[in-house]
Amino acid sequence: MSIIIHNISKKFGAFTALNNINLNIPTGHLVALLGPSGCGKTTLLRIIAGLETADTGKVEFEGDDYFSPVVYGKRIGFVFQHYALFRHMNVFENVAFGLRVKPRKSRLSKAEIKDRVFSLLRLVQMEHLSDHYPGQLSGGQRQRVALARVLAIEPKVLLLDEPFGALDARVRQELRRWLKKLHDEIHVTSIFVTHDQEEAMEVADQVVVMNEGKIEQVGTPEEVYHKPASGFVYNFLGNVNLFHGRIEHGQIHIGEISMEWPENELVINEDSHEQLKTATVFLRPHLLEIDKSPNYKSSFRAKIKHINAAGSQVKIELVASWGDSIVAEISHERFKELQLKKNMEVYVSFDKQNLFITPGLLT
Amino acid sequence: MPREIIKIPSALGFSNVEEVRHQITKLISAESPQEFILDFAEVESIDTAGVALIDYLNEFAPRFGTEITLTNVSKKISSAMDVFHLKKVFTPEKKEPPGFFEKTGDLFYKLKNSVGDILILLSNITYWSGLSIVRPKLRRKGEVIHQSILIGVNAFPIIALIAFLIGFILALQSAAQLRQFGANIYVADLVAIAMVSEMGPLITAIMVAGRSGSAIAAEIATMVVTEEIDALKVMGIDPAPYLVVPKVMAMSLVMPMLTIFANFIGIIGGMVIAITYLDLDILPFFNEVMSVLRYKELVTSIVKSLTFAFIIAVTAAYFGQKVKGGAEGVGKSTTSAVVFSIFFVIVADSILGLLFYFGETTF
Repeated sequence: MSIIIHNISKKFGAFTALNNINLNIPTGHLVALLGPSGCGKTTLLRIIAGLETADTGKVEFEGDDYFSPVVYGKRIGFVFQHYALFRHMNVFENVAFGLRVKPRKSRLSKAEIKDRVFSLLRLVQMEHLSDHYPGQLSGGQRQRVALARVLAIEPKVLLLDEPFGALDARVRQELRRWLKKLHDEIHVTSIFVTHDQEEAMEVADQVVVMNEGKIEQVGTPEEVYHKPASGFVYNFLGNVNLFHGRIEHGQIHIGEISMEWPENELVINEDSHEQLKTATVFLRPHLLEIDKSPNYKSSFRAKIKHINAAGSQVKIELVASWGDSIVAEISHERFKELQLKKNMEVYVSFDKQNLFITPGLLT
Repeated sequence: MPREIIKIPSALGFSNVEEVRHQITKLISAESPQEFILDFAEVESIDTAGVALIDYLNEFAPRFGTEITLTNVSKKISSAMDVFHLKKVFTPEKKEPPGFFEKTGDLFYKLKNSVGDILILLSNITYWSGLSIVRPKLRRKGEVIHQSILIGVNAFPIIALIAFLIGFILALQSAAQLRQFGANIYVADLVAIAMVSEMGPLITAIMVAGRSGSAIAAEIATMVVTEEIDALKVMGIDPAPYLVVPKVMAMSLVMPMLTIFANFIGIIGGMVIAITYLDLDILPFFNEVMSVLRYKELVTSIVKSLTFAFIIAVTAAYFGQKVKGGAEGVGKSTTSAVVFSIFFVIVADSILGLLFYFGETTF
């Protein structure tokens, strides 16, 4: 079942949660809604589920206009961040619930329900805990039960609201992979909300990056990572160094570095005073190189403030000569080779092609 | 973050002050650094708006525990700052406290929404209760009985104790007065009428509101907070018939029984005083009670208890579903549920009391 979202807007009082959202989700895709807290991603998901009503616009499910405030009778699976398991029912009853409450005519027999529930519990690897109550389970187990409960009604659309948000990093990673595998098996159209870019990149076929109630970019994980549509997307999808530069006579000045203004592709407000033309420059930490002497690339002096050698890469915090603080990531080999120490003066360089520049000040 | 530096553009003035202000306040509110340094090295000109910005920041920042420091301020700029000292420009005008009419209007505006919600809930409950009486298939099996046990059977001992004490006290207080006139036997009349038409229903309602009203509100509120209600909705189950209707039905079934029981025990409480303190015999006391109680008192008792049952269940359900926030909200809505249901019960009691009193004299 494909989902088409037309011009959805939603306000809470004076706060605009969603501003004219248009989105098309093809059948069988696993789409991630990615954005910082408060960007409206959960609201959008709840509107799709029918738990919230939009002020304007509509949601269509495969041509069928679907704009009722409550979703009775629709086959939508919704997984909540805090699991929302029924506390007074055990695991089996929770999973069987959706099947038991169906009208008598379309209800399965008791034996069939039992079979179905156990096959689902097997799928989520919870068979051995079928008589436990939610209170006796760990977070990861609860979320798997919640998924089984949702899958029991054979949903045509699966909606997941930060499903792994409340779990610890390891369990999260495990469940992420498991979800991906599950989706490959059952191929139900799925939307999941997350604020974790890594999660979105790893699981989704398509990523929708949202900010302040608007869609910033829609694309495959590769597209949004390598061809970000805006400074916000670049900034959100990984660690960045952010510089504020001035633009003067076709050149960008950041601190003591000056560079050619890369073509004239970015439109600057012509009305603004020549001196006030500003640009925000982003650069990923792993694209910075550290040397003990200046080299042919654009380089600048910096002082090492802090070194963190735990992890796959060495993280080095630096203070540029003009006062901005910068983070660089280099390999352990390089780190050993340079024998870097705290308070050392070094030269930092980067490839101009790797810069991401947007006009105006952005924080 | 202990410290944050920002460069002020070369001309700080009317044209860009809003942009700079936005940027700085966003940083401060997001990171609340201990010290926020405004670097004036590049600033060549400043106007009144620019100075006002500095004044504004000095008032804004302490709210986040941040101290504003200016560095590299040239003589020209600092003298300009001394010239204009505009503390008041950006500080918002102090709002006048809302007047009588504003308050009243606000109250009614809020009330309007609540009344709407209550009406929707009432119509839902009435519709589904009616429907499930006609069509027993719609009922959740065993749920009404289960709720009746929770609300009714388990409340028996405490209501018995309270009713006994109330009857006891009523008799004791009136005995002292009636004795002076040798009207000992009228203690029976007093206790019987007061218990059956007033104290019995009222005491039962207050006990049930405290015991079960709070439990209903807490249960529903918890389910809202943990998104269990949403989970029900997406599974296509209307929470009103599923959760609320069985409770309303159980309450309406059990409250008259509890009330009659309380009346009986209350009269026995009075009888204890009559026998031990007023030297009456059981038989005359009992005869007097039977002669004074007529169908009217019994009808009053039952009608009142049914009304109270409905009030308690609906108020509890309303405050339960209206919960805002997390665990704290559950506590608040439970308290409101109890307070308001007792309030409404007493209001309804007065109205019904008047109706029955004047109803009898006119007809």
